[in-house]
Amino acid sequence: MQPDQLIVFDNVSKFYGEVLGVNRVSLSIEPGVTSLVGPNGAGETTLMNLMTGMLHPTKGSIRVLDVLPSDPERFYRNIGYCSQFDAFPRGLSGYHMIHSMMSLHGFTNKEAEERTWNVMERVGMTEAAHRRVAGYSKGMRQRIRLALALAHDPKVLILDEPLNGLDPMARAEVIELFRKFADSGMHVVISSHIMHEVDIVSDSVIMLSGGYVVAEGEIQGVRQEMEDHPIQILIRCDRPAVVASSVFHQDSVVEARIHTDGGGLLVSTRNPDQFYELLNRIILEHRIAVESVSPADENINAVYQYLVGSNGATPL
Amino acid sequence: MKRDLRIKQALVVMKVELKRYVLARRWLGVYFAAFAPVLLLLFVGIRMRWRGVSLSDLSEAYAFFYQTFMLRLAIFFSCALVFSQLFRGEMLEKTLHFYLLAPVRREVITAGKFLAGGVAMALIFGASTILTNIFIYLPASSAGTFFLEGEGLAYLIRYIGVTILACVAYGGIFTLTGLKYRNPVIPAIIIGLWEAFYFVLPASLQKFTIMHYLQSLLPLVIDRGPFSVVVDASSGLFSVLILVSLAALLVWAAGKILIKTEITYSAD
Repeated sequence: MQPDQLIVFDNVSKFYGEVLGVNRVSLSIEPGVTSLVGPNGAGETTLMNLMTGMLHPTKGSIRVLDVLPSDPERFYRNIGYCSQFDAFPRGLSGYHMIHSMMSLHGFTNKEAEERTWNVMERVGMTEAAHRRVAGYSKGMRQRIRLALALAHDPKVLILDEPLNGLDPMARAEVIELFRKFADSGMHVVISSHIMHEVDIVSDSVIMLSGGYVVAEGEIQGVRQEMEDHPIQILIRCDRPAVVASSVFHQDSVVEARIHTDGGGLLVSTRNPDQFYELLNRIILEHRIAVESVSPADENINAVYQYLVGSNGATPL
Repeated sequence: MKRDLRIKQALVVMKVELKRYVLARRWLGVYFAAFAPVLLLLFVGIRMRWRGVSLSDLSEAYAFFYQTFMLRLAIFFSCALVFSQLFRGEMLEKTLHFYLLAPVRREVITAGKFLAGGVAMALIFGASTILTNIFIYLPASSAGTFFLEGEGLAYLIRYIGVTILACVAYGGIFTLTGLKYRNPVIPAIIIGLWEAFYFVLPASLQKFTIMHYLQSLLPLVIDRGPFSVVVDASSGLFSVLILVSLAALLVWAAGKILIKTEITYSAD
């Protein structure tokens, strides 16, 4: 892929005095939805602030679509950043804020007006457009931040905890919006501690712990990198004891636990493909009625817990 | 093309800043410093109207009032308050990133903010200068003639000019200190003392004060007592050039600092 389609971190370190922000980060982020995952203080916000030029790296360099942050006139045309800072300039309405920002982008007054109303409509804020931001609820302020990030049609959308403060309906809409952006070839970089939402929306993940990137890639890919870590598969069926005794013949199966209700079992295996083949045979052989078969932990939280230890896990 | 866009961007920043701050509570002190003397002089002027006080006495009284109160206190400290807060206030309120995320050179942001402060202060203290200057002549029976046919109007124009230049020069200084220092109060006090007692400094050091050049442009010079070191005034054009160039240089330097500024609100 060409450099003008990538977000590239080249051996980037950031220290706040002697405190580590992120260390030796080398990444090449392709278009699509990329999630930054980690517990508080892992370095996601630092990485985002570096990506948006709000922080300067102590070492290394960052290029977004082959533009350096030191060229703000080109750099910020490509970037929309929805930060987690919940403060707004005093005395301004949501409309005025976005309109002013569009004027700074160089749009004519008419274009700025059109873009402002369009994005206000997109985030459902037309009715409150002329109210002062200070009077908005938390959810409304979050929508205005999102609108500010989207209004100039950036190619790279960076969102720090973008779903905070949104009601479930709005969350679903915003997630759909991110998918649309990603499908149109945009970069959407998200940080979130709400794992199931990251799971739903992401094409790839970057996992951080203590300022280091501990894993990156597609969610499935990250999983496959962890050869030693068994996958858990949940099987709901009528005769779990038969299944358990049969699967234990396979070397890759390390554990099989029957549910206390007697209606299923949880199998841990290092080779899921082989296991699924075996399971099919067992089901046919013993005529077992299967209600469901599903991976129990193939989500970011499980991967994250495995990679950085249980202390790093955040609740769903 | 790029230049036109940058000018437009600076004007957008200026408009946003004016909208944000002109009616803000934090500027109450500025309005008080500018307009309390207006009300005071109006009150005194009405009470003493047509008492036949000589024009020269009133001109000297105004020169004293303007140089001691207006320049050294009201304009100086108002500029310190307003311009220091252009960036420091944003850092404290955690709102600076909104500007920094726009595709605008940081020098342009600095210029826009400086323009906003400069326009607001020049208008507020320009109005204050005009009103105090008119009201102080109320006790004189020939005030009308003094303004229309005498030196009154020329004096007034020079006072307005000095007011604007003071706002520009002090504005440049405090725009820079507001970005450079986490606590801009200390530099404001040091600079305030340097400027207030400039007249006791050796002649060579007086040239390094704003006040020296402002003083050179004033229509009347007041006696500063036995400790003052008398220095020849600089020429009018030279003084204007020095003050404007200094402000431009300081704003440019502030822009360079802004380029290196990081958004780490927690540290502020």
